[in-house]
Amino acid sequence: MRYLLPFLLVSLCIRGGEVWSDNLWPNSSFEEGLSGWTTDGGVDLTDGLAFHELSALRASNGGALNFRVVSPVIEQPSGWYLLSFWYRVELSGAERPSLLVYVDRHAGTGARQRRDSIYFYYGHHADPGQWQLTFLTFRLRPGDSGVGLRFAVDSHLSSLDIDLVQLRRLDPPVGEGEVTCIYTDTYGTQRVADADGANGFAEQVSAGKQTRGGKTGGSSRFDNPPGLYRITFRFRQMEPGEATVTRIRLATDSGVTIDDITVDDFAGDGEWREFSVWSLYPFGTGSFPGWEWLGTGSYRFASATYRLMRAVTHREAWELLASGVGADAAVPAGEPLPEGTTTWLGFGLYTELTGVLPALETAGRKVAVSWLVTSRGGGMSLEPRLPSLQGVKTVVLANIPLRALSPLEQLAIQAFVRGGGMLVVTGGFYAYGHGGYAGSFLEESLPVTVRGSFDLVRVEDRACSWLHDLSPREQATTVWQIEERPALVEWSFGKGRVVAVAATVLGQPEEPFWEATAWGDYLDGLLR
Amino acid sequence: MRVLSILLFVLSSSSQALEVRVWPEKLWVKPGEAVVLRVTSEPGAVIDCRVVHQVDTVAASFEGMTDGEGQASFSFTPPADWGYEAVVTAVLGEARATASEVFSCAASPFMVAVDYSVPEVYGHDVLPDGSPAPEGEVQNPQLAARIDQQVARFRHQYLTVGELMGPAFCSFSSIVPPVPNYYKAAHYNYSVNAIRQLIRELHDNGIATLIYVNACASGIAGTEFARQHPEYLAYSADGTPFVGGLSLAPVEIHQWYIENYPDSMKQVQGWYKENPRPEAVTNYKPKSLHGGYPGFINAWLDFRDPKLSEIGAEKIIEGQEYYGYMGVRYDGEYRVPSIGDPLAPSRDFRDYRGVKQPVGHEAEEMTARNLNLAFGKMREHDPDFLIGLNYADFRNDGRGAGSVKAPVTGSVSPGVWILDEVAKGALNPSHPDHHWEDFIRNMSEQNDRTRQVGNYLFAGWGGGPGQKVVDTRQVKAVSWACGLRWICGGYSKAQWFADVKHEYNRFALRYSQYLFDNRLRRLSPEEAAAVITVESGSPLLWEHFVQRLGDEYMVVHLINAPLEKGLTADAQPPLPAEGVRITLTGGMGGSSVKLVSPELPVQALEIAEGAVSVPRIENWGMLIVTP
Repeated sequence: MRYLLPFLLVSLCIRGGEVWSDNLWPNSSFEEGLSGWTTDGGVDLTDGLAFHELSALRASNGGALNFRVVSPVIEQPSGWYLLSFWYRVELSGAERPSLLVYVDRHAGTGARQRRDSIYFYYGHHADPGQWQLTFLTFRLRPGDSGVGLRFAVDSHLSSLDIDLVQLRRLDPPVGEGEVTCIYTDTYGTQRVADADGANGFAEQVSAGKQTRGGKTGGSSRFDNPPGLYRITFRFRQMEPGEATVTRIRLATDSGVTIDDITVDDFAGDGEWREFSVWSLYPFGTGSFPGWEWLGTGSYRFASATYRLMRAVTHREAWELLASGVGADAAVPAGEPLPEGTTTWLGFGLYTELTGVLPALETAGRKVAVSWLVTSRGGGMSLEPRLPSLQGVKTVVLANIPLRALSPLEQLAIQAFVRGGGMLVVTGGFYAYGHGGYAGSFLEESLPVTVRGSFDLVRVEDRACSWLHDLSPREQATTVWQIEERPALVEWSFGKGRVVAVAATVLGQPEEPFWEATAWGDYLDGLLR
Repeated sequence: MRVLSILLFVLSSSSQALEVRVWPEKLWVKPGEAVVLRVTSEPGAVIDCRVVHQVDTVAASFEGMTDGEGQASFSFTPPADWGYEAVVTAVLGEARATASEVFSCAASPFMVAVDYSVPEVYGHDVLPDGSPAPEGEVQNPQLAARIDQQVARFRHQYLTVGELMGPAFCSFSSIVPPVPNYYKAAHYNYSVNAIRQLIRELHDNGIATLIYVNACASGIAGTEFARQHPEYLAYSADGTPFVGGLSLAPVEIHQWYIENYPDSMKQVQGWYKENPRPEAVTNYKPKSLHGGYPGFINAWLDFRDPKLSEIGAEKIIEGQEYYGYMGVRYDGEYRVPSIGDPLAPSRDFRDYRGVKQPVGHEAEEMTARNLNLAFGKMREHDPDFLIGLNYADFRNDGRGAGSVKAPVTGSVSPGVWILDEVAKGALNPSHPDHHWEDFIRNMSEQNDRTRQVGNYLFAGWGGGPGQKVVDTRQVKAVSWACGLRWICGGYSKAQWFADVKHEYNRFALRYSQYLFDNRLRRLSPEEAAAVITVESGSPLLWEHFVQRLGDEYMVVHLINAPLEKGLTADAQPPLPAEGVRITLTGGMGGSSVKLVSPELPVQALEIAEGAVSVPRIENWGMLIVTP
């Protein structure tokens, strides 16, 4: 299938060109054949079912066997790279098949291979039959000569399609960028200093005492707009003596190794050593790197500092990875809903209070519900995932965080509204600023802009105690204001309509708006 | 007294013709409170009952005769704290039998708590037709039997404190349930009738009860509390509430259950009958009722506003009035910065505006203020209210965050039960307590600090699912010698020590004053060497285990040195030490040296040329040296 709706990306490409190289992977979308890709299952080119252009690689299990798909080795010099590819799977019946992708860094011309592994679990995140994007950043170290890909596919997948494999060199240095360095340290850290220093280094001091070897460290979670970041770490070990730190491993919190630094002369000289890594956030798995010390001996004090610089925005990176075919084109179809379903409701916290459910009932709507839950690994997700919106008239996102919607799902909702659907978004602990909407595809659809995290404000109003501090867009209509802040805003987006409710059901106002007749009437009118 | 009949067989000693049993009605009593000693033998037997305390001091003697049903009883009011042993002799004609049992007296049950455990009684109190039992005595025979089993276990293991898990979990959802048979997710479906009856029967047996809470908001009520008070939530750096999890899928079924009770309960019972293993069925409704928490799972709170701590205390007091428990065990206290689990010391907590919570001394001062407020409120309501904290920072070694704990340490003293949960991983080779040497040093130093401020040190939880156990006699002896008590049993994850609980715990309760008296001062190995020398054919641990109570007495633990360097599963127990010679110097020549041991009868050792000989230490012995 050829995707349509290409975007004009001239300005973005200029910006991006400062950061990354052109695509270095030859025959990226298999238009010139398999080009050295092999498999121990069956392999072929798709015929008209590609993500991009006409062809894609299709490997099949050939009789319920595990199989591997191996790429040719692409020779490249040392440096940082961004690798991405689109993939699509078909299941052979099992609920949770797995797909394991190895990125092999080849050294010289020999067979010395080192592996960085990424695991993809299907289940909560499964969208069989849908093209999905993955990406990773990695470093070819001095002495490495190239990179190859291997896919290990278990027998629960009947086929694996691969398309648009891209490899781009990330070219440091990047100048001072927009930076907010906020993080949450986890275990092993004892003190934090200068955590808010814009453009500065935030420091974590680890006072771990691994008297018998082992590892310790910390991971970090950052509150920054999505995008491609360069993160500079500085490490030092502050006490000599028994200390024998030998390696520092940088990894995402899903365990994907970004870099592995060997530290031969790190023993307690107190000198800072600096390393930079790149990370794309927050597409799918993983987030910003954490680090850990690994040693066969012991250490007492070590510290790490880091600084972030955003190189490109979410959409810029996304357009790059979609490679100009148009981000909006890559929307998933989702599972079909029962016939006659007209509303899909993302059921977030306190949805039962919002009045949406009785209004839908009054309107005689047939509603499909997806619940907000903490998924395996601690992320947020909707169960079930976003379905096919075919036939749906209204989508309600009731206090749903962005983390529960993949970029593709946000684009699907955006396409749904452009096509004439209605989107209603309500607030709370997980919406707008607190839900990470700033800079996202979802925000693009809204009649308001989000100014960042922590936008809940307390107001003295008989009907509402807490609302999100949002800014209406120029073309939007503010229906209701509280203390000169928009509480309810609407606009048209494409052929559709979007309603953003900034007022929340939080707190204990004297006469809650969500219990008032006027609110019920408004919702009845909206959803009729 | 159903418990009595279950246990009697293990407490008797008899000749062929005559049996006698003694049963203190309570395991623990407060000073001034009498304990009734019930004796059972043949009708008409002449009973001699001596109550012994300290090492071998007779506190009271009773004489009497059993009645026509073979029963006799004596009321005894302990004259002082710590462990007692009632030794009973029955004589009937030529026949003679003896038996004994131990009990204790202390102002706080923590003083004499040799271990600590959780009596798990879960399930709903239903009538045969599936409808809820009326408020009162438990009607469900399975629940009633479970209560009896748990009380019997506590008596058998000589545990003076039990922790109730289930009704509360978080202290900001009401501890008083919305309906009398309710679910707090996981397996914590429970009934008010059963919890009340369990508490009552434990108390009747001289076993104190604490309710487990953590300083978070969970479940439907906790989630509603968070909705009403966004200003009290702690937020992550990305603006979302700092939570252990969120699941809205079960909310609807929980709300339905509450709104339609008691009919809903009967319906649920029907579902269970249709499918006794609902966990195996995806989306089956009962799974949602005892699966994940509905709403927030541990939403952490911002305790900068002291009002929040007072609210927490009020909830706990409300629960005490409803259930009757004696105290609370916090798993994470009203801390700034927010902290649900001291093992995960995250520091970057925000308020709803994104303003970071303080760390360091400012935070510790706020935490101390909160705890003073909360504890003050609870103790104002009940002066004897018991408080336990999961507060591993007591193990700090002066570096890092631990060095700022003085305000909190002061605020939680004295009389508070302190849990060091870090120690539970000691079987792991990379754990800081794994090696016996480190374990002894760390625990002894920690216990010193804990004792100095009048608190009580416990560690837990021992073991893990399917994990093999260490030589439990060794761990118990060494831990007690360090002043440390373990939390074990109850949770399926904590099965260390099961094999030796009875005999060792009985011994520890009996001689608790020589193990757990906060006035005991540990001598450094150098100080110890100045007053005592121990020679043995095989290595003994003793240098770190010499303690004095002023000029009253000195306690020396003699423990066979483990063969392995670390705490190891399936370690071979050391061989008994033989030919042990102890030389007393430095003015401790001693007018009296007695050896007590769980493996040997009490022995008064003869002092010859300032030295005593112990022929054999099976595993552990304590010398009580009185100058």
